Amino acid sequence: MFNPAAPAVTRPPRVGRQRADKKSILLGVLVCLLVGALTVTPVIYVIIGSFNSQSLGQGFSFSLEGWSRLFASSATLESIWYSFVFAVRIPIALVIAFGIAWLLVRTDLPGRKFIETSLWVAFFLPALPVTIGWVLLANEDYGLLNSVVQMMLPWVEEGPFAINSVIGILWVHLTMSTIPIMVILLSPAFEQFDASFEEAAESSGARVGTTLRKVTLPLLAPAVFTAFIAGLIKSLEVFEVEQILGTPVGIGVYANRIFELVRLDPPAYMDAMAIGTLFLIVLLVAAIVYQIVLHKMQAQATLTGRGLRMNRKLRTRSLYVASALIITFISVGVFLPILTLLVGSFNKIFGFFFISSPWTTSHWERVLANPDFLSAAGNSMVIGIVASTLGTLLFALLAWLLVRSRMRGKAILNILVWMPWAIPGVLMSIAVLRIFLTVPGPNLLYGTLAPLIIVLIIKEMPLGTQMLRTAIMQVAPELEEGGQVSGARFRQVFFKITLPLIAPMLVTVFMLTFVTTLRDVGSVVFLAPPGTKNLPILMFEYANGGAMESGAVLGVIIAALALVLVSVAMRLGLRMNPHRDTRKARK
Amino acid sequence: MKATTPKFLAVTSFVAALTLLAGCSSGDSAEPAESPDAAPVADWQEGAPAEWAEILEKGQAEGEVVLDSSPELQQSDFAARFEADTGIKIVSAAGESSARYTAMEQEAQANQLSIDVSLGGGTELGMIDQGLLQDIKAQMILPNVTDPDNWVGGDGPTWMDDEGKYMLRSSNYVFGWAIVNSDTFDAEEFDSWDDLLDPKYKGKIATYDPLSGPGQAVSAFFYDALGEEFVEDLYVGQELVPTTDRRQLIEWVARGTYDIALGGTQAELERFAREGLPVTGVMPREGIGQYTGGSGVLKQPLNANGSLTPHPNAAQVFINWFASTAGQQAYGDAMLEVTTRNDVDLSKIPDYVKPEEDREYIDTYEEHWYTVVRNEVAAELRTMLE
Repeated sequence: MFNPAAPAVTRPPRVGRQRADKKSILLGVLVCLLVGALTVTPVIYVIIGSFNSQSLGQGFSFSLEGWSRLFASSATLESIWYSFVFAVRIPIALVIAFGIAWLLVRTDLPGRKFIETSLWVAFFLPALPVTIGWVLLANEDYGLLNSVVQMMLPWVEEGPFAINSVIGILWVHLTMSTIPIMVILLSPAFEQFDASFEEAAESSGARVGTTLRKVTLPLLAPAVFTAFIAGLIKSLEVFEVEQILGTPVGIGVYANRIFELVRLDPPAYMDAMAIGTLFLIVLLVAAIVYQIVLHKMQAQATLTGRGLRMNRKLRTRSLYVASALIITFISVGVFLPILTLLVGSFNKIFGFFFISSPWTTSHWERVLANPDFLSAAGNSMVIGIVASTLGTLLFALLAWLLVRSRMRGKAILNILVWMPWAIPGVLMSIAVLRIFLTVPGPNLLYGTLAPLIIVLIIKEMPLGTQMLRTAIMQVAPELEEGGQVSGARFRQVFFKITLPLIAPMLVTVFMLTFVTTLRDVGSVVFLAPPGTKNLPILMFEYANGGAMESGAVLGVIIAALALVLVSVAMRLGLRMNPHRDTRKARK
Repeated sequence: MKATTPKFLAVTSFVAALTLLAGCSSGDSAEPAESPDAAPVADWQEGAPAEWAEILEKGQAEGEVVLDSSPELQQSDFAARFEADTGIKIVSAAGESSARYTAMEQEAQANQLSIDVSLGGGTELGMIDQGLLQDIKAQMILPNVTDPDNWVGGDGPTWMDDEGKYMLRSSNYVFGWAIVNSDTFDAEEFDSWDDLLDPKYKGKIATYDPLSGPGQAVSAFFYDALGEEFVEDLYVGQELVPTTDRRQLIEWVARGTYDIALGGTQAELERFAREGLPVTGVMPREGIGQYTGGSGVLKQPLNANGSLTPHPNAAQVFINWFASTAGQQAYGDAMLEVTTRNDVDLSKIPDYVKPEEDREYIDTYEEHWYTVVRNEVAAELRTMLE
């Protein structure tokens, strides 16, 4: 087997062991306490809540009713079953995304920039109006695509598309978020991967497939595995698509069930928190498996002191075919719903084309004239920029501690970092609300944007930290050690060596956090103080108030905003990328 | 990931700039979303006591009142009409109704209230025993509001709470009607609720989630009025199709996907009907109906330590305006609910929500029904339907 002969990630030298041990224990305790305060407190609140039959804030009365109802309710058990059924999209998406990411980074794929940008935009798109757009396109009874098929093939009695089905829901997930996010997560890992490894294999006679299987995949295994686990857990808590497409046909995931229980009158918080706690166990198992597997993978540094070669494979006929396939997929999966959104925003009633004078600009006028829109846009920018900047720095620091430091308790820290994904956003929001209302100190911040920003950082901590962790693992320690030997302090090494070396992943994490702030309603729904709505909440209110057309207007605006932000971020990422000169020079 | 071309960046920046510019030009004007088009109403402040001027002045100095209300009301011209009448701005609380209620209760318990007044259903009845609601009756001081003759029945305002001072019930109308496609459904042949059990409708009736929101209002009413067997035969036997999207419910009927829908709201239904789509609300020719207070129950939270909401004077101005002819006209025009006042123009209100003289109704917004019967029924329904 080809051996890339890259240096394995080495442990720092053990000098002054006793003193270092004390320091590393102290550092470990301190970091775990700080991170635990952020991530464990809400989780503990939810666990305790699952045993409390009293209403929120009215004392504690032990009860197992929530748990007994969990196992007695067929609706709850079915939702848990469907959660795992829909998780099947993760391995599917991972295979497709791995291929796309490899093509984007390793080859001169025709339309590369268009594909990259489109996948980012897809991830930006708000779930609610896009899902409604898919209903309009592929509903079994009145879907436009079915009508087109029946018009072109008159002998076909029933249209082939049924969006309100397991396949339909999987399709919407795959196109709207799962494949795009996987490509986004894997691309930076490829960008930190020296092409000479693959070239060495190919010059030894290995074919592309063999090289991929025996060199690329093993070397990128930590990043791929992190993307898989992150995607799996994240997929369990997404519910908007199932809410719209699944409810009419009795399909829902556990996050839907929690949403339903919280909306009951009176709300069944105890039952909802019992389900949340059950999934905490699932998450803990996943986190422990992740830790063990990652440890066994013996991560190899793919970015060493020798620099990075980024030669792209020249265009061949098969690259044109691959490009055509991807662009077709993007056109159907991303641009068709965007087009539907755009058209719907000019419909008097979203999706009704056959009423008298079906077109209007009034929804645009209404949204743009709504003072809430500008203030929501401003709030979204503030929340997004602050949460993404602080969050990315925090995640990078945690990732560095997990990979490079001699700190004790890394395994505990790793589990603490995964914790926020144990509970869906809406339960996290309730827990954080209670903390900011009742705990002295944090309660001074209630009514400001701070709780929203903090909860969004907490929610993105698992993905951000783990992806940056794999990025740092790809960097050979000698690069940082060189700085230390030259007398640089930690701060200088971290900011001037480590962060620039992982710039592509940093930009990706920044953007992912930013996108989350533009999409996540559940985590902030209890926390937004009056007058400080952001765009997701405004859209949620439009949709809830039946104004789907105004929601479509906001969706189009967010898509346009996404284009601008992605373009800026890509420029910025490229400028920060220390390998860009190498890549250009060798093209 | 790589950079995009400058041209691409320029185009996208241009799109965003246009959007921002359009937003700026519109946002500065702060025009209402829809221009007020109410019928002229009598001066709602006529005969105000001397203290009113001071309250109004202080309210205007506070500048705003934070209102928790439904998204439909937030998207109407209601806030603009209040501002035009009082010079005080309405700031809307954010989020979904159950989230807003939870947040308001939690804020009050922690003495951190951010909401001044709340318009919605009756869930807040539970806050009375906790001492977390203010007496709003004592704050209603305008003659237009306090004169009993201005209210239906001539007995003054209607209250949801038994003490008659915490939760003003400004609406009383018929709910639970079926949404049908007027092209395919003959309302004349809809004789009784039992018609919904006709096998021809099996799998052809949609409903809002029968365990929450307007869907629960319908299912709980059926359970109480027509019995457990009827509910089981209807929801389970007829294989009702649920949704949690009110718009989708009406769209289904408009497109003919389902023949009948239960649990829709009249404001949404009339929006479709205004565009010529063949949807309407119908009650059976015979059979019991239900009264509801809809989203028109007004209450004011109070911090647990007795301290007031952030804008107490603006809140008192809002309470008086909302209960007046002007406020009820604005609210009724937006939500299409029938007011409990007798001097408001109801010409915009659809007939199917107006009470009929010869029909019997269960009042689902009476305190005992809302807090006891409804909760018992809700528990039974959960057991049956889950």
